[in-house]
Amino acid sequence: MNANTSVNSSDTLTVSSGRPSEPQRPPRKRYVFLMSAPALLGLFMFLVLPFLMALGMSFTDQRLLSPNATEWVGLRNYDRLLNISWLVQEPVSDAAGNLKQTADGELVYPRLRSVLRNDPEYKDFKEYTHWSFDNKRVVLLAKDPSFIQSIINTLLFVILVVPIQCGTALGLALLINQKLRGIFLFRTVFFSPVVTSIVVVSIVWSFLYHKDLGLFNHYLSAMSFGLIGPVDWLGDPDWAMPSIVLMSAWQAAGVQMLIFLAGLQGISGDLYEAAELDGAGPWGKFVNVTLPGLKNTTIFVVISTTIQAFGLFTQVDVMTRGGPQGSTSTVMYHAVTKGFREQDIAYGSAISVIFFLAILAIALLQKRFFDKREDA
Amino acid sequence: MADVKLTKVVKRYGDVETIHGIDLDIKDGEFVVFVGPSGCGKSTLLRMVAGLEEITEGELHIDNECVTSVAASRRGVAMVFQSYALYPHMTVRENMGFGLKMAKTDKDEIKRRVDESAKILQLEPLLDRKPKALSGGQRQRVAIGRTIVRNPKVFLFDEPLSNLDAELRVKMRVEIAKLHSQLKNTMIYVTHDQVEAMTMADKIVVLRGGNIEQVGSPIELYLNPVNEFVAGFIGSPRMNFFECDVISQTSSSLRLRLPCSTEVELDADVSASPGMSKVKLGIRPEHLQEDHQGKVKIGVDVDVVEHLGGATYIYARYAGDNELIVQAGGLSPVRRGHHCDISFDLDQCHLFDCNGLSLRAAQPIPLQTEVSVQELVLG
Repeated sequence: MNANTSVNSSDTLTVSSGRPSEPQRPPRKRYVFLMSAPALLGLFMFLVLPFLMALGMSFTDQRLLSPNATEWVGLRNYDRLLNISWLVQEPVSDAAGNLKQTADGELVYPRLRSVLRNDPEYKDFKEYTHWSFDNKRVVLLAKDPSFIQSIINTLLFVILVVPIQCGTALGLALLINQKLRGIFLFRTVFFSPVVTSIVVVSIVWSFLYHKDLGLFNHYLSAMSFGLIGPVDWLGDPDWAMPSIVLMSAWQAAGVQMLIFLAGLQGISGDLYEAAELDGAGPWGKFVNVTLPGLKNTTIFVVISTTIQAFGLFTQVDVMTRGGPQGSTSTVMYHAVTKGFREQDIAYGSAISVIFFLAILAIALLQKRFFDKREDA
Repeated sequence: MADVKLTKVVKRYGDVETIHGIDLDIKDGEFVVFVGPSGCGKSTLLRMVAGLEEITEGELHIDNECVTSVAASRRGVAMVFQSYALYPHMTVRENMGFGLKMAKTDKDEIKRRVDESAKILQLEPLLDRKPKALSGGQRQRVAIGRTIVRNPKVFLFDEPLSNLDAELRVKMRVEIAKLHSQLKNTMIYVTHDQVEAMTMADKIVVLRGGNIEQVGSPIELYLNPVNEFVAGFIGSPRMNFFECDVISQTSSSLRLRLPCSTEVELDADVSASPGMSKVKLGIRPEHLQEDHQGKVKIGVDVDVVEHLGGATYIYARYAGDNELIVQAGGLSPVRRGHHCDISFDLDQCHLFDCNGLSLRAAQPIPLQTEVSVQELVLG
């Protein structure tokens, strides 16, 4: 654009083509607006507007199908979502002051449900978890314990999947960055899970993870001569989330691999040769040339992978439906379950708003962290 | 003591041979320049000495030790790259000390040696900066400093000045020449710029198409090029060539007809090539005079005149379409479109047979030039 205008203005100066040079600027502004209008419109209609609607709805009691009129309820949805409390219970003792015990020798505490029902302060609260401490029992309460569980599950997923996925992507990128015959084939193969529908991938991996028929258990038992397994990958609360992590990392690493590959190809070959003359081995070159050269790429990959990981939904929906015992329910899954399956769209909106703010905060924090390291 | 000796060195990429068996002796402390047009294999040859390219055949000795298949880092060489190749995330100090750090040298020793070479190159105020905060010339100095720190047996330079502007290039040229006289290490320098080669080298190696055309001191190459290629490559502006008919020949002289039909007789060593019909006459622009003092006169039509102040380049046509460049001293009164007479002496002519080989006996090299051109440059 700039080059154009300068050429035009020099035309009018030297050749005096008679073209008026005045009305150069206003049309340009108009064009800028006109050209970006479709994108802006789409952004507004499908991103800004829904978010504003969700924000508005989260302060109401709107349901998907309901005969009752919608009413403002203020912060009730957020209260339900985020309100956490706890109570400390003394063990029950008999008249003589001795602590009551069960047949197993465990201490007996007052029945939690009756305590919560009788105390207006604990109205609507349910137990999230409890632990014993010096003969006392501490009970953590939440109005929506499965949301708390979902947050913890989501964080666990992110913490596990980001390093695994980024590490895999970097490793693959290093492998396919070599000048070998047929390397294009490997690039295609490594990238192919990305272009496969996540639903299909999830179904296929469900078979692979199957307790009795799955390939993984067959391999494990064959390689360990029957010592290991069979593991109920998706049915065991301890294994379900790691299983989904592994599959997700495998499926999505191809995108980050391509980004890392582009980053790798941007590093000057001279630097590797200089490092070679300086006596750096393969590891030395990796640490002193490759990693520093990939710094900006890594920042981008980590932030985008983190954001993507927070949105975990499809795999859970297809493979485990949030189970077993809520061990794979995620924030997104919880929002969809509440908002659509249970038709409480206002509450689902509140979850989305909180989720959006959380991701925004994390992305900003990550960026600040990386920026600071750059200054240092 | 770090002689470099290449014996029948060949480089092949698959079936394509790019270096065709090079033999070369470089003496300890010599400043050798590899020069040639692009694609002549000069950089490949340097990289083979560095250990960055494998030597397909032949042997390389550095300091009387065969290093043909020794890793680059253990050959005792250090290299300055055209792109400088400084590690962008490290400070100047870290860049310079990196090689020693990799060699697990003691920290105090690294600091001492970095400080020492920073002093040589006046890099002290820049030691804590990162490469992106440096100018092109400063980066170049850091790249050189990095090689000095490692105290190598042989310094290698791969077109180090081609990313600098003209003024800085001249300045760095002098600095590198000074550095050589200070450090007295063996240095191998690759360039496509024959002016750099002429001004810096103790010994120039002219390469073409993976072969050595000629090895010699700058003055030797200037006075006695062994063939038409070297004659045309060394010297600026380049030598003028005309095709001449041979009228008659004896074993030690030739009678020629110049394109303008003038007949001349020259001494030439033609005993080995009887019965030639055509030869090429070469004459350098600075040996053509516009003041009629030379023995042979020719008439030319002037196309373009470039006034450089101290000299004037006259681009002219001679006897039809033979293009010709004349370097006249001072401000020449000749103008575009003029017809004028140019003269030259036959002693200063070069003569090449149809294969481009020189037919004239070597001229004696004046004594003072054996002192090396560097000292002339540095005054």
